[in-house]
Amino acid sequence: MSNPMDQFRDAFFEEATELADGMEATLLAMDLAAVEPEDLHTLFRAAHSIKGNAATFGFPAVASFTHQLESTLEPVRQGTRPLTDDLREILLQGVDLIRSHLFHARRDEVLPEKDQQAQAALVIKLKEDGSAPAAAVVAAPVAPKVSGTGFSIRFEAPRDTFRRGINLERLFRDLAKLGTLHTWPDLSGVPALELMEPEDCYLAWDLRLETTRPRADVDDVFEFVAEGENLRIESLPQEGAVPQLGEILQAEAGVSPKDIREALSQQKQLGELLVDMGKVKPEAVTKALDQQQKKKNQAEASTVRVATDKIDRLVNLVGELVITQAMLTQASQAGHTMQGEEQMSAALLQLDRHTRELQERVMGIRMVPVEMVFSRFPRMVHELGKQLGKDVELVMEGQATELDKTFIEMLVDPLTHLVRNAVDHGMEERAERALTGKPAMGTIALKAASRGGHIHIEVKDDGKGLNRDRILEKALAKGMIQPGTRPSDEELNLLIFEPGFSTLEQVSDLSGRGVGMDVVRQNVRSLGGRIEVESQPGQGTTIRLVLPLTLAILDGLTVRVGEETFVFALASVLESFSRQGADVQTVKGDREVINLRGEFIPVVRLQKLLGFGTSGEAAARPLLVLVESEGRRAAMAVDELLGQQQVVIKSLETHYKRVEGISGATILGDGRVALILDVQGLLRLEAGLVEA
Amino acid sequence: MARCILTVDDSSTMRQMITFTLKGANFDVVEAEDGVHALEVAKGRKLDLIITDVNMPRMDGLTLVARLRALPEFKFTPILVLTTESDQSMKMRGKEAGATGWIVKPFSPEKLMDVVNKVI
Repeated sequence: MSNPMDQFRDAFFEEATELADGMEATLLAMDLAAVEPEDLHTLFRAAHSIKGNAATFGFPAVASFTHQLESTLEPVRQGTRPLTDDLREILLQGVDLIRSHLFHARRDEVLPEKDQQAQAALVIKLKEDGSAPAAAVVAAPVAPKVSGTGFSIRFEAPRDTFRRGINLERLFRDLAKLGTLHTWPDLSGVPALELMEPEDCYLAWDLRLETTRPRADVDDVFEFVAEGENLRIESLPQEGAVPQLGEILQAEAGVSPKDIREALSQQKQLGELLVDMGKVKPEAVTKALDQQQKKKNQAEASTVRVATDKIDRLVNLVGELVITQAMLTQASQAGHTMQGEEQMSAALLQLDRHTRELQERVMGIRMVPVEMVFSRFPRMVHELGKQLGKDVELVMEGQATELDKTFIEMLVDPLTHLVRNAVDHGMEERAERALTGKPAMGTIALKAASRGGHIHIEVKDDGKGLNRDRILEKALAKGMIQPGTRPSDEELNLLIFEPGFSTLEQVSDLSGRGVGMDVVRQNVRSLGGRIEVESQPGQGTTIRLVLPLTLAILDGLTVRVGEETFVFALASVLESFSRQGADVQTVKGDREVINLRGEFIPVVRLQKLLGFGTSGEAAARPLLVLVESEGRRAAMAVDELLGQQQVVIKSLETHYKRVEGISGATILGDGRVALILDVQGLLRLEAGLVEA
Repeated sequence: MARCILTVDDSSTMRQMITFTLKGANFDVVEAEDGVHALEVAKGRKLDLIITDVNMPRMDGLTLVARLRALPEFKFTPILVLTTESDQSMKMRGKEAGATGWIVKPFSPEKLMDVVNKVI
């Protein structure tokens, strides 16, 4: 038998049917003028039993309907609602419905349409007729699944511990199973012998539990003894954080948390001491503290904290560079001899390696863990869920992934918006989730990972997914796409990031305001990143921000077009191939498309697009570079591929002005300036969306 | 010697399920249909744990807990009450009556064993 519950199935149906029959008999035999309280209790108990058993043995439909009946019976049993003839009639109909539920559930059938309608009507009657309380659904607290290093626990055993048969030894044993447990018993609550009640419990403990298990597991151990104030559980500081002196003394020297608390309470702040000595007025101290805080805030905004070992490594590297320089000098003095050449190339190789490492390490100084943005979300998701009446939990992954500090600041708004959207629009209502058989608790996953020179940040929900038909409809209505075109799923998904696009007619209180999806895209673009959207109807949506590791350096492909040198971001280049032999066709007189494995891709002439040189030379350009951005592709006609190299990006905007299609400039090894092409902008230019 | 558990519920299906689960875990099990019956069964018996429903005819579960606690031999015996999810206050009332803990209905056999293992 697959399910151990199956063997009780028949027993359940027989008993439940008996109970329903009993309810009917009791209802019919009752004299409404002189109601026996015991009869009411019997009715209530029967409904309660059917509900509880149905839920336990896996018949939620039976359970939820019987729950309505039980709720109606509760005030009757308490004597706050009279049992009228009408109510008896309604209850009898209810009993009939329970029987029908049982009959069909036993045959694995759903309740027939007719009965479902009868039930809907009856439920309304049960409710409007009295004060039947709505099913009490208690939202489970959303605990982010962040594994920490453990917990510091203060536990004062309840006075009645022994009298309730609680086994404290068992409790500590369960706790010790979760990790490494240190205990400091606190006997200070034990009174003098003559005052002691022998059956009362006066014990308390300070505990330190080192574990990676979630807080919920610890709460579970204390389930029967937690009475609010008597149990305080605090997370131990994260791995890598600097522990407090007290923490270390506790772990290393076995000083009890109680003693540390006492010692700390005797400590006084400088301001307090000075006030006590009569040297300064309290107001002056408050003012000074405010000032100090302001200074602190300012300093934090413009500085980066760097671990000393990072700096030590830099100093080492500079030492290496000095040695390399000496090698080069020596090699150059050796002149054009065989040995000199050899020395020279060895030294250059070393220089190359050290420069690269130095560059990486210096960049590393600007890197901070993505946790700095993520940390705000558990609370936000929890509150959003409560506000919207949805059960959502947040799962976070890769908080330690490092990102450029500038990115962190620029990511706060877009991520906030995406997470809000996921909870508000992505996640279905409770009832809808139940209907589609999804777990009641929706999951939002926030993930960060470093992949091949890029940082991926994902916001993933297991909600209803994007409604592509709606998006298409809307985009047509707004003129964002031409009628008759068949955009791909990917293109449709990305339309939600267009300015002025929203699939919800009625913007909800939460997501409709503030930054829109177009601002998300704008911010991500300005960081040199792109957005990917994956969505399966009914299964959820994943929005992925793909960001470069840093703003200052780019892996580029340098190409020559006529006399000019340009740089493509390597990330946007798919492939390059010779025009010869490729299937290029001319359309609309002067435009060209290339048939690449059945897909028609426009050929872009850079000199025409950017307005340099003379047009008409395109046909002569022997190479095509296939680029892609946001799901759109184009083949760029170039003369020569010069090579792949890392280039340092210099902003054009700050020195000149913003030029569509150009994201910046760089200085090449020979001292010449090359423009870095913005593929996204070029495609927009090509599509005629913006003017050059 | 196997440890002995008394299970009290007016629903025979529920009793069967609990008994089956506990026997599978090598406990001896005795059953009772309501509070009054439970007091008779418990009398003179050495019990390691009592699991009782709340809503029962003749004597409800909370009264049973209080009555058992008044008997010297069951003063410190672990007692679990079966409550329903919608009834949070029942946990408090169970505690006041002297119950060790509670099992929230609906529950699976695994959950039952988890809670049993928590108290004995």
